Amino acid sequence: MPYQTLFRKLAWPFLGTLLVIGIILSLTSGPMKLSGWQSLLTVWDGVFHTELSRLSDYEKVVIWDLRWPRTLLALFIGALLAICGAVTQGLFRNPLADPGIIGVSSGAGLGAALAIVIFPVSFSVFATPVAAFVGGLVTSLLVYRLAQSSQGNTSVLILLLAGVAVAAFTGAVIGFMTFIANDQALRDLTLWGMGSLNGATPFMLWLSALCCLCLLVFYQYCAKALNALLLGEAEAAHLGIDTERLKRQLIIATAIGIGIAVSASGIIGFISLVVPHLIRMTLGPDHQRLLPLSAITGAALLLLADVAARVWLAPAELPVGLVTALIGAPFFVFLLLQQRQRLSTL
Amino acid sequence: MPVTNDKNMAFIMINKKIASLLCSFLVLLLSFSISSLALAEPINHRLVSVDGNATEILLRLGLGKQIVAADITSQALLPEQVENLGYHRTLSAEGLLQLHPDLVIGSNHMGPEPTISALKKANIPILQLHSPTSLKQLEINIVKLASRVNADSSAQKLIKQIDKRQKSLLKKLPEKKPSMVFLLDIGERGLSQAGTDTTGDSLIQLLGGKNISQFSGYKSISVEALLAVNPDIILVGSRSDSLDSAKKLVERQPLLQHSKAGKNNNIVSVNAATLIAGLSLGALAEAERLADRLY
Repeated sequence: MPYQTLFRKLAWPFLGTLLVIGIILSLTSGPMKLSGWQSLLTVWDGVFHTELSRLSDYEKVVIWDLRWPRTLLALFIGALLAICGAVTQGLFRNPLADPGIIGVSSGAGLGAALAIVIFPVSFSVFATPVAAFVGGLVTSLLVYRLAQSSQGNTSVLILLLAGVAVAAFTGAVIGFMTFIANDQALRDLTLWGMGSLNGATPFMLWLSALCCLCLLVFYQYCAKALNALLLGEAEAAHLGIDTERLKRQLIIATAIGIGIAVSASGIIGFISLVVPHLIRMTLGPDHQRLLPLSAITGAALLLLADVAARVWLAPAELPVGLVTALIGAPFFVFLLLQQRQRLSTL
Repeated sequence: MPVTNDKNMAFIMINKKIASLLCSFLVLLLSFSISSLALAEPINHRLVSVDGNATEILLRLGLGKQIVAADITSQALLPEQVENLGYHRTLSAEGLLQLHPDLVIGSNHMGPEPTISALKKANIPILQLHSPTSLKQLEINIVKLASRVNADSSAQKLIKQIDKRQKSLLKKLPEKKPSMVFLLDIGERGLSQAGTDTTGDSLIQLLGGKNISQFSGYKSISVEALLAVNPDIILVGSRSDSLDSAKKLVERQPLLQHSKAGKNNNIVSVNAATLIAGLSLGALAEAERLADRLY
């Protein structure tokens, strides 16, 4: 298709510009009205230890201690969600799959609920993120084990169904936690489910940065194998790919990635589903291109959604998960309508 | 040269006139500024309150005009709308900093933690008050808050008033503690009962009652369980000021009419909005109203 080759040529500069715009907007907009240029200079000063910005110390705190870490967090979490989504969709050979399918999100939700309800508020700021991460990892490993037959083969269909069953179970346990929770914990639980980039600690920021970069490299290394997997498992195996090993590695890597994203920011929906799907639809399914472009688009979209979340009701703040779902859900319906014709023939 | 002398004279005269005019003007200005200095408030703070209870205290101390922004629960208490900061546990650090507050007042529940550390980093004074469960804690909060906003004398007056009201409330209470339950009516999904560490429980204590709940927090309770315990008084929290929740509850659960509380006309509505931010001045007023109604 000629328009697809045109898209492919323009994709890098277009999405790259979108990301840069996202970063600049995220640094220059907020409830506090500050000069955009001076705001950017403040970040420059912070990174390169210069003294160019003319903002007051008070305003520098806003830029350097609030907006800059938050921009980085949105960048890494957005990229992380998008690439994990892309890999899950490739792994399941289903463009509408979501990392939630292998039980990461439900497990992380369970971990967070246990931590919020059982540990007292003063216990530790790390209790909830750590519990969410462990919950996500343990649940997805459980789902993976359930799908493994005695010969060591993993059935993608069983994986999917086991994920649904485990999600139903964790849902019940979360419901029970909600039942025994006190007022404070109940409200925390509700807000945690909506996802926000507001409460993350510097530790979580660096952890998600590290994880995002490692996964980008690792997934890129697996990109060709993922392409082969699109032909079907048997075909990939005939091409000399150890599909079992590949599936295991990718599931564990995705569980870690989503687990870290969820523990840093709660549940932020739709980025992991919509972004890779969008890229695949316009630029084709080659993972070597799909993965980095998904990362860029995911980062840009989460940055823009977070700007909206911060500015919309200023000085109050919306949970960013609400914004992504508000934009994502109608868009998803649009995608479904587009594909109705094709899917109904399957 | 007489002509020029005359001219000079006239010039000097005019100058003198201007000078005297200027002098009197200056004196006038000075006296104005002195009098306005004497009339002005001692210090005009920019206060941000993210706790309904603290907002109520500030209003009673006569500092309502100094509140520049407040959380969502405080908004209903304030006579005029101020900037809305949303829910007090998901405060936006930049939203707060942009207001350049002299003092941020909240409860021990305010958050999240990174927002509070950002405020500290920007050298914004924060006062976190313990959410009160007793009038004693409420008075401690009033003193703490007043000392930070130079309102000690009005705080002393307010505390004397609270003490007086508490004494007269105590006089009304019956000698034998009646058993009580505080219910939140959650519609078709049933009833929720206030446990030991809730503000509903504080209200029961204030009314000299004995809470039938053994648990902490709000737990659901069935009508059957309620009839089995058969408390002397049933308080029903109402979301609106219309105070019709008791009537609605009895309409939906007619069995309750045959309970002890129902027979003695002791199923009463409580304005639950007064109980949101711990035991507040509003809760005390609500307790007085209920004591008059019940005893």
